[in-house]
This record gives sequence, structure tokens and C-alpha cells, in this order.
Amino acid sequence: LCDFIIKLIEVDCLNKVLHLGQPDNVTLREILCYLKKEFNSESEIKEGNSFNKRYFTLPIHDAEQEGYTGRGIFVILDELINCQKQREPQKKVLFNYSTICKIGDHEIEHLKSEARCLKAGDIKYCLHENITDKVHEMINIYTQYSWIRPHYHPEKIETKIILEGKLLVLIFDEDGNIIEHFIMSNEGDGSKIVHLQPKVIHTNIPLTDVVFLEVTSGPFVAEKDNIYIESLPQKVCKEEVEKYVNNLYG
Amino acid sequence: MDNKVYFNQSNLIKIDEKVINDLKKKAMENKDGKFRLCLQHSSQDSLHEMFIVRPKGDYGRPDKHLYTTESHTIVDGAMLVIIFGEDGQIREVFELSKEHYHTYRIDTNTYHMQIPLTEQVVYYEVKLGPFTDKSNIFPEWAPDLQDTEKVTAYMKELDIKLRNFRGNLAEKELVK
Repeated sequence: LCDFIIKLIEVDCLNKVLHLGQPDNVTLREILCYLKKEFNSESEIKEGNSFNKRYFTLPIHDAEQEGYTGRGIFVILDELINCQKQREPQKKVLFNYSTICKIGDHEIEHLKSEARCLKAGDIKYCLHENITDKVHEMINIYTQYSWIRPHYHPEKIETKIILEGKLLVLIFDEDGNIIEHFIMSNEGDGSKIVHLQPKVIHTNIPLTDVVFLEVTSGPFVAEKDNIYIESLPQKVCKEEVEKYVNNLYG
Repeated sequence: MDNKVYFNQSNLIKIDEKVINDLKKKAMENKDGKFRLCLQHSSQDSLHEMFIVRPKGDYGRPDKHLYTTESHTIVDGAMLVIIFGEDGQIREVFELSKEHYHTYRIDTNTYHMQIPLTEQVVYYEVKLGPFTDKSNIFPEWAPDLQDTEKVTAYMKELDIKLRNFRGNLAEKELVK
């Protein structure tokens, strides 16, 4: 167990968040108890729930970094473990626990390399610490022609800033008809930033692999915050999404 | 309406290169060279998102916030971000630009300051509202904007501190 964990700490290069597979004979709680002792953490191990996935967190204080004293935390997502076990397409959700969280090309490349390990290839990296935070800021990495069921947020705004790639944004009326569509891109004439007030029905389709920052208010309550449009499908395969886009621009 | 701050009233806002240039032009029309487009409808909204245009040489007094995190994302140009300890000593420095860090988020209770590096810088700021006179806590070790003599002296002193801080970092790199 000791070697296993230390090795994982060394590979943690993105804001001190670890993502572990569960060794066969060790429970998640046992791993965190070990880390708690190892780092003299006085914090309690917390179990949480995000996007219907169980996770554990352990704040570790006074993790000295060059130039500042920050605080670290270890997170283990059941989701990833399930992903490894079942080898099913999964969206990976990661949380930041640094006092100062910076995102540049290096961090984006790190997230993209993690995304490539997943079958679905989609990652949500939360700059906020947990789903109860009042400000939610996320770096989203989506693969080309991923489908997100059209939806709206009854009480929350949403802002997107494109960092890489091209993202098609569709706006619908209440009957599910497209009333506006435009492309986001951080190059050329495309929109770089889009802000939606509550109740605007929308979805976004990556025309390439994309990276974008998304901002909304928290806390996140899935069943209350995202209202889906019944007339529009929940799942669409990438080939169908591509045809849909081609028809739209054909 | 204040010609330096504009509150959005639309349900859908798209910002492209043309809009960014318009914001920069509006800023140049103002005496202090600044402009702020607020995506929230009023200062009483619970989430504040702003596009801020600032000119090179603009002094933004270091501050911290007890009840909100703060994040900035670069939209156009470049700026230096400085994180301070409670005593005003530099803890971290980095550049926010297309070439360096694109976005960052800082926790509550962290003194910080942004210095424009290009003739104009445009960035997107997010923090919790509503805005009150208790939203920003200013340290005694950094002067108020109105006290121009002290501001000039502080910026000279900060410049030396920045050089030393970077020098120390470079030495650490050499030791490695």
C-alpha cells in the first residue's frame, strides 16, 4: 500500500489532485486513512456526491510549494474506478483543491492526455472545490460530436469561454425548434464568449475536440438545475450528431 | 448611466473580436482608460461576471475578499498577477495571457493585484455578489489610488520586490 500511494503522489502534477484506481484488497477509506496519517492532516475524511458519483476528499494543510503555502487534498472518484473496471465510456469529473488554481497550455495538455485514456474522452475539471460552492467554474474537454441533451437552467446563468477548438451552440424554442445557432472559436470571427441568462434552452456540439471554460452559480443540484427537453433525444451517437450538423449547415 | 460601467439586459450575449474592440474603444474614450461590461443585470445579483478593460500604467490597489473566490480569464492582451501574503510580501507571480496562463482562480482571503502589461488588457472576472462597501478589503501596506505620490513610491518599491522575487526563483531553478 505504501509504495503504491507514494508512486501516485509523485505522478500528481495538477493541483495536487490524485485519481486512484482501487487496489483489489484495499478500500478507498483505508487509502485515505493512510494519507491522513502520512501528511499529519487534522482534517476529517469527507465523503461527497457529485454528478451522482461518490467521492472522498481529504484536505492536507501546509503543503509547502515554491513561493507559497497552499493546501492540498486528495480525491478519489468512484466514477474513475468504475470506468477502469467496466471500461465503459465515462465523463471524468475532477476537482481542484489549491488556494491558487492556474490553467495554461501545460495544464490543458495534461487534462487532454487524461481524456485520451477514457473511452468517451470527456473531462470536466472543476476549479471550485465541491458542488456546494456558490461559484462553479469548470474546464470542459469534449470530443468531436459529443451529444449533450438540449436543456435549460431555470434559475442559473451560464457563460462559456472557448479556449481551443470549435463549438456549435444551438438555441431552441419550447417546442424544440432551433431558433439560433452559431459557432464559438477563439480564432477568426467566431464568438469567443457566450452568456446565457436562465431559461434559455440550449446545447453545444463540439465540431472539433474542444476545451472551454464554463461558469455558473452553485450549488449544483442535477435534478433541479438541468431541465431537459422531452422531445429531444437523450443519447445520440457521434455519427448521427455529425449528420445532424451537416444537415444544419447543408 | 455611468459611461464606465454597463450592465447587460439581454438573455443571450455573444462576444467576438468586434465586441472586444468596441469595449477597448469605449475604454479609450474614458479619461482613466477603463471600461467594465457587467453580465449581471445589477450590482445586487448573486453572481458577478464582468469584462474589464484597463490601460497600461493603471494602478489597481491590492485587495482580498472574505466571502468570495475570484477568477480571471484573459480575453485580450496580457497582465501580471501578483499574490501577496498578509504582510505585503510577494508569494507568487505569473502572467495571464494567451501565451502563459489563460485563467486562474484564487481562494477567499488572498491578497492579489493585476498589472496590465500591454497597452490595453481585457479580462473576464467572476466573483460572488452583491457588491457592497465591505466586498473589497484593502491592506495598509498598499496606498489608495487617490494618493498619487504614495502610489508612485509603492510601485517603484514593488518593481524592486518583483525583480528580487524573480531572481530568487531563477536561483532555485539553477540549484535544481
